Amino acid sequence: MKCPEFELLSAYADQEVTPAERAEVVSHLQGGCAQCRQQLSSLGQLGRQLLAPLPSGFKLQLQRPRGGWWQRLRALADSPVVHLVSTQRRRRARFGAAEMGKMMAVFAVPALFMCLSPDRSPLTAFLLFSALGLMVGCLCASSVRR
Amino acid sequence: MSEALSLALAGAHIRKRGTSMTLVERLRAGEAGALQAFIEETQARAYGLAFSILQDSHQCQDALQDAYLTVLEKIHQLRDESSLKSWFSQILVNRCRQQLRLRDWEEVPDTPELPRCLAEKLDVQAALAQLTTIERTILTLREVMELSYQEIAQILSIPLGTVRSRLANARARLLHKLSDDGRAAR
Repeated sequence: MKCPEFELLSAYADQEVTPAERAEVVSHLQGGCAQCRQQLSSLGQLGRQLLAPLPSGFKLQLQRPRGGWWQRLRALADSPVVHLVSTQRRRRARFGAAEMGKMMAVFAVPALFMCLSPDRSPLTAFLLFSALGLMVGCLCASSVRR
Repeated sequence: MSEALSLALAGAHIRKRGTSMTLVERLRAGEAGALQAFIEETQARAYGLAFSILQDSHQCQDALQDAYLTVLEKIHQLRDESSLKSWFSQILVNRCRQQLRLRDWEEVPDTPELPRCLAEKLDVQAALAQLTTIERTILTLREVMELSYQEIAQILSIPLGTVRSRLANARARLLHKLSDDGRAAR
């Protein structure tokens, strides 16, 4: 009688076979195959020998090491939540209305300065508005002191 | 058997004598001593699993510490109490994989083939060390952690059939190496 494959014997030893496979192995073993019985016996003994012994003095220290700010930042950056959020942010930033609005504002502010300035120069408009802002600020500060 | 040992790993849902809380509930409640009881129960097998992957006791210690702290921090995420063993195994395997980030996870044996004169002195652990990391991991998850094929497939994210074939290959290779060593399972 042909012996079952080793993979089937291995799964049979773990009781991870279908009923048909189990019946096949059982009938083969009942036929008196000494080689397969020997292999099953070897498989049964293997588990006990695989456990690596604990080294002497093995002791776990169950406290998180206090890493520096860089390690904490790296751990945070590596965390799946941050990765997910940042991916979503990138996705939103690519198509979102808010990001589009910001982009438009970047171009709109210089254009506004240009429209308001006498010589249509953004630099002049910027200096003008800065000077006005400084004057208003000084006036406000002096009125508060009084 | 001590009181702590009554908390069987495989049946973390088994209730501790004299109390009405399971080990998972005690861990969730942050009860002092619950983690220690869990460690006492699982440490030897967990070390065996970590060592089979990492083959280095210092790295094993780091991985185990990290895995136990993760259990304590994330125990509220465990939905099914009866799957504590496979959940913990998954955490530990992931920690070991992180430690192995720079090594080849898939196929290259971590230790070079030993010359014949040394091969005669091999014991089971040395023979195990000559398997690939994935083979050692599957073998230990089955033989030491006593997980089902389905649980191993979930932990390693591989198909069920692959678990079965790789486990058989690992066993065949290990038995072959042991028989070469004159230590065939008797």
